[in-house]
Amino acid sequence: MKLTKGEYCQFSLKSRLALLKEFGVLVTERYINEKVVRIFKIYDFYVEVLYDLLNKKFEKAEPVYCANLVDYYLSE
Amino acid sequence: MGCLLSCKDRSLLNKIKAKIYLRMSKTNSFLEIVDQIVTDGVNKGILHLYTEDSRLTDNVISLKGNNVVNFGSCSYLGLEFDERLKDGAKKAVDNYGTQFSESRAYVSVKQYAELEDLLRQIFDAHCVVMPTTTLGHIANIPVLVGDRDAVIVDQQVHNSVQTAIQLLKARGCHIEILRHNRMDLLEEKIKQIRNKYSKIWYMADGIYSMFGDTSPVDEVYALMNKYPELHYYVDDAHGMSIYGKHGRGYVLNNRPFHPKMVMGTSLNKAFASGGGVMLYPNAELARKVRTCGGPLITSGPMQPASLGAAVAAAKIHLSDEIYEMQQDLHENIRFAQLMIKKYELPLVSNAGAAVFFIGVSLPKLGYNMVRRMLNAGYYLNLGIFPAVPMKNTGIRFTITRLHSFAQIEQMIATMAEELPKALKEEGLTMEQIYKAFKITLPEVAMLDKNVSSVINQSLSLRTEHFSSITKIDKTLWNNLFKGNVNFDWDYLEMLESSFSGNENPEDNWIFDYVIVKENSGKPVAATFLTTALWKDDMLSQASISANIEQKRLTDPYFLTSLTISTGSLLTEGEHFYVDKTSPLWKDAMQLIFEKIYHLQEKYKASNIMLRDFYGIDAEMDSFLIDNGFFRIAMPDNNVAELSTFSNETTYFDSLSSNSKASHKKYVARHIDKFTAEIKQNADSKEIDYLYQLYLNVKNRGLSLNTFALPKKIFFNICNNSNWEILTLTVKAGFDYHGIAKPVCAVFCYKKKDQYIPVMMGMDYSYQLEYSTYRQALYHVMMRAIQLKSKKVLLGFSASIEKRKVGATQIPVYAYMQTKDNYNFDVIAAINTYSVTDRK
Repeated sequence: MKLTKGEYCQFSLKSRLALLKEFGVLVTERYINEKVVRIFKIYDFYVEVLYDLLNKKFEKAEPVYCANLVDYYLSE
Repeated sequence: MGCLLSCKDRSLLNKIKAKIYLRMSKTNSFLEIVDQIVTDGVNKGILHLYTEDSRLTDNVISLKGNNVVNFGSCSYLGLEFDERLKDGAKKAVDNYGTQFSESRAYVSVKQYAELEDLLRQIFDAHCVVMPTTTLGHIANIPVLVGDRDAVIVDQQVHNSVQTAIQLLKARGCHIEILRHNRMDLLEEKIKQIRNKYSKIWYMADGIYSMFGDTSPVDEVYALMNKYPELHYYVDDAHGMSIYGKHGRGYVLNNRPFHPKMVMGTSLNKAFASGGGVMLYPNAELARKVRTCGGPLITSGPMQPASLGAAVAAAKIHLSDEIYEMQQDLHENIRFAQLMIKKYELPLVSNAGAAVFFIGVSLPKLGYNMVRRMLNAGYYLNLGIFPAVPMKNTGIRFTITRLHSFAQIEQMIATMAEELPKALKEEGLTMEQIYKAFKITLPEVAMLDKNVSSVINQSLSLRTEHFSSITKIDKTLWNNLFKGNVNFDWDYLEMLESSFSGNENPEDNWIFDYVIVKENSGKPVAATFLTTALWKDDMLSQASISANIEQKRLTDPYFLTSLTISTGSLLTEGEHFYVDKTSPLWKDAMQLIFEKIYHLQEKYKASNIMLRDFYGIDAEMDSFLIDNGFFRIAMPDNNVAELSTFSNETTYFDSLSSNSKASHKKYVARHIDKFTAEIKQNADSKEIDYLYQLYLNVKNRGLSLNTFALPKKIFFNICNNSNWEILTLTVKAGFDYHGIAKPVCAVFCYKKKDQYIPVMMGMDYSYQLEYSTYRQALYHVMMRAIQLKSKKVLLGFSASIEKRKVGATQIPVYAYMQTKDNYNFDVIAAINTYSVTDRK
């Protein structure tokens, strides 16, 4: 059963990552300076995940609200 | 209910009562009910299971050859597999051995001091560690509650607290039971009794183990602040570790330790090590329990392996790691709540605890679902009577930190997929589930509102319902019920006329008749029902009824419920006609149940009673339990066969030597002192007198505690040719009390081939000296022989005396279903717990 973006956001970062791991599909990833940006498709939306390579730490996992952003990543 | 109630001399009365109590005592029948239900679950392969794994490492266990995800564990944080706890246990065994077998009154192993010190830091309160929480309550409650204190117990408090409360019984402490979580009633009660007792202890659970709902702690704290007498004794076993600073539990989550609170909690659930801990607001209370608590003097201690694991768990609780674990668990709980909502499962409580309860209403659906889920790879618990009322059966499951989101969703999705299949298989609807739990019906459940009627059509059965016997063909009815029953067509017509238009609510009964026929017109099942106000203690011990009757002097309807019953309080015999040669008999019964449930809703009746079943038919028994009924033993029924006797001599010759001796001693020597008469009619004055005789009997016996019958029925009997009144009058020369009127009246129904004494009235003046009751039995038998009856239906109770006139005893059972266990919980506890509200 699908979660909405709002429901997804009720969860902690750790849980959001677990949800991506269990139910999401990696669409693309890009390296920008010391960060890795990954886009996942989960349920009916995309999630942007930011990983800090220097501190070896996930910084965020936020649903993408701007469709253009996904197009941007996919077109690169 | 039944005939010839309790008309015996005092010593005989005691003997018979002792026998009935043995069968009927609440404890005995309660254990029997639990035995039936658990055994049923064991036979269905869902209870008393053993894991088959040689090693456990996570939440997957092997049951019956399948790997299943365990959704029944109370180890909510999954600490049982934490290496630190395992190492702690192993090292403790290495250092101290497998056990340290000495009472804590003498010496405790060193780890105890370390653990108690760590727990003091966790709770910021004084503590005593116990081998189990149950033993903790047993140590606490008798020490904490003084003789001048009162105890008010929440209806759903954990069984371990209730067990400990029993210890107060011998001291005669004032104990009451309170409707679950009703703070308004608690306050009302405090106001009533606060001047009589020095302390009032309210005993409750922090999180209730079955529905996962919570104690209204803030409200209790407010009441404690308002009323100096109020103290709070709370068991927070299911809140431990998963809430609050250092995992100190639900009750202490963001709250200080109230100075008038004592708390017990478990180290055997999320704490993952075994044992329990009791917490006190001051050192003196802790010292007193440590010194005087029974199990701390005479029972063994918590053992080194558990202590080692507990020390390791306590250290985790005192670190920040516990908060991360709590958050992980609560994320899983939130996910489960979301999924249950999305899959539209009937969740009964949504308090945010790790315990979930999905309502399924009847046990058969519960068994079906647990079995289906087990087959699909998920182990869940069945929540069934006595933990919940029979019609509130449900699937109880727990969420732990070890579950993945995928496991949770797949389990809930499977449940949502399997529930409609199980409903269909059991002939139930979602609407029935929502109704049983009084949950608002979601739109989707409306869709299957008519499913059952569709099922009915496909069964080739049709249900006929009548509101009066006069609307049913007399021959049809009398042919359906022609065995050992008194309720033929004429009898029922008289009952209908007697129990309508009366002043008191208990004297007005609603009659319903249900016949299920095949399309060919052949009846498969039939019964008749009366809906009436019953005393809830009708089948309880007489001593319990005596206690309740005291309360009824000022509140006549205390502990009474509208009950829909097959038969009536004045009929006897097997009230269900079932053609078991028909392959559709169970479906036909199902249709009758459906009609009963419909009538129950319509009349707002609390209880359903199906009676009388002669002996236990295993197939019927299992079928009724699956449909949410529990079996209760009734007093034996007594039937005397007369078909081979043509006169008094041949009848008398057939009696056993003991019966002949009894007859000689008690009946024959007094027989000339009585005049026996048969009356067909009586005038108003005579009826007043006979009614008083009846009331003498009614008021003397509480073994079957019913309301007194209305006078109207006696008027009807006296003007009905199917009835006659057998009276006994003491002859003038022997009547030294100068009564000069009947001292005994037996109201008898004459049915073809059967003679049925239904009610009796007595003046007890000559009972001891002339054995009036035995005289009456003898004359009933003689009259039956005179009328050439083949059977005498002598009814319930007084079996010893009835055996002496040739009756055989038939074991009788009834099946009951209650919407709400509250009144029965009160009755079960009545010897210990005083009587409280009936709201």
